[in-house]
Amino acid sequence: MAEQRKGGIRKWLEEHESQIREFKHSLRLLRKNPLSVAGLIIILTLVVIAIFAPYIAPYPEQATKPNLVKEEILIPPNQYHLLGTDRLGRDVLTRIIYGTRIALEVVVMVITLGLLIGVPLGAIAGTCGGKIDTVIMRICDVFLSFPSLLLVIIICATIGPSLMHAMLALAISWWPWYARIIRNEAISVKERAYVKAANSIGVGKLTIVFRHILPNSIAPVITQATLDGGAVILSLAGLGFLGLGAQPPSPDWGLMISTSRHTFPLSWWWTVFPGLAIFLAALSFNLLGDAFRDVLDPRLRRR
Amino acid sequence: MSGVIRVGLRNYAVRRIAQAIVIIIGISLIGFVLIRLVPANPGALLAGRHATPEQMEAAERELGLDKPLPTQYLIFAGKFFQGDFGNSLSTKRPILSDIGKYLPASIELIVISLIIAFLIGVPLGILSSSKKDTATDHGSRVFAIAGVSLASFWLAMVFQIIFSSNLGILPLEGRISMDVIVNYPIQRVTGFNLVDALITRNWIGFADTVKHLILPSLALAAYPIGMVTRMTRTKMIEVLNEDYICAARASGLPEKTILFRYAFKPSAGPLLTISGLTFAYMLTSTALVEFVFSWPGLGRYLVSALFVGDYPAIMGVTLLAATAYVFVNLAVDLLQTVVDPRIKY
Repeated sequence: MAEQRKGGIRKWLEEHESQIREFKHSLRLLRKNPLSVAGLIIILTLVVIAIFAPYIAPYPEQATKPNLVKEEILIPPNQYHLLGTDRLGRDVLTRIIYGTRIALEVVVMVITLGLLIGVPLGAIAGTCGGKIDTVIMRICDVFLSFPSLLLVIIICATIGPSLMHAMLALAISWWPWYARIIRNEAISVKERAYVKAANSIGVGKLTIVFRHILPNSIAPVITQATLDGGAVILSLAGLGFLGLGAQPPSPDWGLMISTSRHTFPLSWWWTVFPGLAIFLAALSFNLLGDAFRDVLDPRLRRR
Repeated sequence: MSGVIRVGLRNYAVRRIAQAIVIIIGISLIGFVLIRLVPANPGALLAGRHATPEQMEAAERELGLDKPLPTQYLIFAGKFFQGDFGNSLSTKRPILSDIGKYLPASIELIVISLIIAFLIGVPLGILSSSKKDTATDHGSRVFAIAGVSLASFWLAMVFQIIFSSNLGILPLEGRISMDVIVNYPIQRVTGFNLVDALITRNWIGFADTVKHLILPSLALAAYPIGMVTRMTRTKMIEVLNEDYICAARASGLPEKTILFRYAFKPSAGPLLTISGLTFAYMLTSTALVEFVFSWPGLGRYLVSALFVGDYPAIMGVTLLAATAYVFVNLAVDLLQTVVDPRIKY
């Protein structure tokens, strides 16, 4: 059994040799690009911060000062509170650290949900063609023609504000991008000789999807998904700022900036630092995604 | 020959317009589903948080909840296509007239930001592509990527902290100062303060308007600057790899001529597409920026509607904005065929 599987893997490797060589070449190019390395390092750091938040954060998550005395709230950055405290005397640095969990959770959930809806629909549209293709792609058009945050805003306004709803609304507005990529890939792959040959000897459609269409779509999907990580973080921040995302006392970054408006602009640290966290997180995904696009798109490589 | 092209263009235009109509019908369907099918109690949502039972009943009657679903959709769609979104719960006026009142301020802000974005983004992108993989290129790429990673509302607040509250050189919020309104009021001609002040030669009003525009338009432009720079760079690199550019270089044309005359022209088409995408981004992020700067535009109207739960206004503004976006994209696609004759219909 194990022997057989090993043989299968070797066969697969042999069949896809040129693709693997291409992939290795891409990795080399990626390593040479300092921007992509920087992006990757920031993302990994954020992941570590999110996982070990309770050990890194200097104070417990919702720690307020026991008696709210004037001297303990809205303290500017000092040696005890590196990034100051908020209106309830909570440490801003601690809340930003816990906020990392929310941001990364939402990115992973939204993109996973988007892929779960978009990939099957795109594959169906591309392989079946005809009326099914037209209907699915017109539905995609409608969603793509809706400025995405507007769609998210009205969905949240209808079903009520909460982090879960914001996540769902984001996924609903995101899947058409993936569906379109997979569909276009399916259509171009379908025309290639080896797929036509596979078709003619009676290989099932599902097999063709898994063996030819999906492996070919990995590069553009990874690029899109990475860039989307940045967009999801910014959208989530906007929703939190509008009160449509996480609700107090959640340490969501956008929500923190929104509540800081109560004492704005006197408590600048309460506004500036959560925003820097948003910027860094979005920046890291965009840096990596941009590098992916440069490397994986052969037209942009230097000749 | 030209006759063939014209027929092709007409067919393309007809097909593209038909597509836009399908999309707008789709938008009306999404609106219908969200208003009627998703909420547990649509009447209550439409009548607002503080509605009396009578008001709720009236809202339910207006929706036609007793009629079959297809009829309900037809009633909704009929109103939607006439631009009738009902009355705002907070201002009590028809939503369409509210939109007309707040729209010019938003358009003024968006147009200025777009102009800033192209004035900075295009030259930077060209520079970056011509020096690919040098320090200049890396620098401008980081700048562009930083631009698309900034939360507009946060940038707006940081600008306020720096330029208004610390340095005190630019106004904190609003569209015009109180003393200018009192002493040198801008006559309303078009609704665009900048244009109105110019026409009526109100220089004090003009200077004040410009001062109020600087921070919000820069905050709003950060993202488009990044997008335009990135797009220009990508397209230019593609074009600079073409054989005809190589030929132009070989024949000894100056680099400037090659970059701006021969390489930039084919990149201009995709930039038009980008301006359509940018417009979509602007539609939502202008809401956040306008809210931060108390800018009396449509975006702030939408945010206040969100805060008080003015559901008809939220729906009206978003559905109308989505429709406007479809038309902008239609116009962009049709313009594209004029700018780039190589496009196949």
